[in-house]
Amino acid sequence: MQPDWDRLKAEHPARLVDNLRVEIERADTAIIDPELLSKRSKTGFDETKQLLSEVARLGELLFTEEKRCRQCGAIASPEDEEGGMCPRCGVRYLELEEPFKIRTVFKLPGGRRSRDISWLVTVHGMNTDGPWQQDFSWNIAKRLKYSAPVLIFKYPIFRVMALFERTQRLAATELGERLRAAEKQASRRVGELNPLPDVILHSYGTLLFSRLMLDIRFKDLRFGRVILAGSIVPPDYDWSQHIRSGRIEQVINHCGDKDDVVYVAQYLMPNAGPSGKIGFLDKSVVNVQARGYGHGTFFDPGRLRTNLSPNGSWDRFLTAPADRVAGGEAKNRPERWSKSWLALPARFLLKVLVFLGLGPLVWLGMQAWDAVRAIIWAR
Amino acid sequence: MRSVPESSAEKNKLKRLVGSLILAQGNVFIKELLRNKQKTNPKITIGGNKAEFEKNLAAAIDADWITSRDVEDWLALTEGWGGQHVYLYQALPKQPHQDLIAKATASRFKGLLNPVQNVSFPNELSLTAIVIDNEKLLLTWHRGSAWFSRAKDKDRELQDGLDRYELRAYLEHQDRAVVRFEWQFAKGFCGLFVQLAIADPAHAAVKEQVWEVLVAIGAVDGPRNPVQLVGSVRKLGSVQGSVERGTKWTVAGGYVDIYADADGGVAAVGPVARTRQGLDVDDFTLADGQFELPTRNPLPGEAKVLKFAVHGGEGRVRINSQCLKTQVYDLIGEVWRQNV
Repeated sequence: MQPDWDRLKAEHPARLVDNLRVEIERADTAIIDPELLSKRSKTGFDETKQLLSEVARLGELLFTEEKRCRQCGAIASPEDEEGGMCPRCGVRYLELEEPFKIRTVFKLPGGRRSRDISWLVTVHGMNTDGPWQQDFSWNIAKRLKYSAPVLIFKYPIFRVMALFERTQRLAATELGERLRAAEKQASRRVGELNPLPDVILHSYGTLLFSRLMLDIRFKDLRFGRVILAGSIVPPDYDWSQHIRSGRIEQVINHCGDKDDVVYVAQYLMPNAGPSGKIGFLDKSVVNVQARGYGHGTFFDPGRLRTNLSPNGSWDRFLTAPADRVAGGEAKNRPERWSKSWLALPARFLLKVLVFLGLGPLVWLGMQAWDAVRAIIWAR
Repeated sequence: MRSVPESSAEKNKLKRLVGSLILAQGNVFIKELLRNKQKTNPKITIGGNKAEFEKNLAAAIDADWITSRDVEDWLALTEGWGGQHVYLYQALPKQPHQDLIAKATASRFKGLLNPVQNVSFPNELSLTAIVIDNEKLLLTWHRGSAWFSRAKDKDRELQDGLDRYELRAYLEHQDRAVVRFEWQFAKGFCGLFVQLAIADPAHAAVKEQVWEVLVAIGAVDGPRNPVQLVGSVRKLGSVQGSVERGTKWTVAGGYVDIYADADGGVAAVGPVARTRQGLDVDDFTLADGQFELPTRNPLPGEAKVLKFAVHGGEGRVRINSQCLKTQVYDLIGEVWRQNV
């Protein structure tokens, strides 16, 4: 049962309850030590233990009494007791007058559920070469006190070429190959619970990634959390299949309530849709509402800094336990979505216009090239 | 297995030996002896505690279902394995094992070569056997020792004239320590397995003595130092299923010490895990670490993980768990692999 934190605050010191709540929700360590919590909260040991016991009765904590070697303080497991010898100091328990001291600790039922970032991949949108990627890389490096490499994936800005499915495929293939190469270089570090890369995608980058995931040539690639910003992936995209197969740990879709650009995407390019505003239908995706955000607001330097700061939206997306990533910003899931019947004819018309516009330009270019070649040949 | 039944004197000796071993060995290993014999002889019963094991073993010895040879084989697998220090050395120079036997036969240790029985309790640590066959070279030392546990219920007071005394009682336990040096010819390393406390003077002495014996029997030209295991400490925490509980990283002028009590070790405590990830372990010259590795196919009731410490600079592995020979070799094999 979820504790009623307000009631607990009325019955126990407020700071103690707040600190305990943060520890449980962050789940950054597997153990809650009453002695340390009471020191941190400047409360008495007994009242701290009383609160912890109450929360334990509600099922949020496990109460355990650890046996520790009286000589060195190391935990004595039942196997150590059976063996009769302390694993740390080597003393025979029987040789001690009082072999054990008992210490009360409270454990989180799921152990440590927070996560650390191992390495990151960023993919920009089609309309810019992604200056935000540098800002992101700088901010994440400042935020973390350990090293988490950031792979910045760049591709040529091809506004017109983005209209074609083949171009999507080529760019997705290049992304897949870069990721595979990077994965070979990344190695699991000690202390790391999750050695997979987390992925930050914007706009056209979200579309490329969604296509990559469907490409069987890259079915060996696996990812941690996937964070979509300004997503133009269709809202009915099936992310669950990738989560079920273990290729993706979790998908978080950061939606901007003022992001109208994503509505246009389906009329311009194949396989696109407005999930960056309305969210995904797929129940496994966490849709999170960002109020006042347009298509590029996510990467304004100030917002980026705020979102990556401790307990900021993106800090939670990347490090919080899976059920806490949204904080209080969860967005309702759309009930239905279908492709606009206008999308296909609009894209066809656009391509015709592009060809008509490009045709004369190409002809002029070829004439100019022939003229230059003729001059060179004549010389 | 012996075809000739043992005499009652031999049986009594064996029962006394078994009785003393039961005190020193973990229940699971004693059960292992009875369980293995039960497979071929269903009349053997196992029991649930040390008293029952002793009674059932004595009955099986009386009935000639368990012989001294069975106990020897069982001891080779369980006694002196686990709860010990291990030093690893590079493999010795290869030579045909017949040549090695010939050289050992010509040495002053001839009398210890391939002995029949090896269940003695000498007061001082003594070389009791040298075994050379086509698979291995094995030297074994034994020592009987006593230690005391507090027995409060035997405390008493003594009034002597005007003086009052409080007498505190301690119960004496007999123990048998085993030291082995083993080189399995197929492996790239050999190991000195020492079941003596590091502070015990015999511990340091046997480290030197082993090379004197090896030189004397012509296995090697001179003493060698254990291989440093700093590389293992750097990598063992990344082995699938392993738990890094604590590590100490030393460089000239300072050190970093990391430890986590929680189940799951360093990785289960966020701030500690992130600190550990921030360390460039190659910057440090020496490293010690405490780890847990899952065991392969543990028996019911047996430890599912082996707890051990690696003292990288000393080239010493301290195995804390009780385990079988096969498990010790699995563990040191992994340590060796990660060190290369």
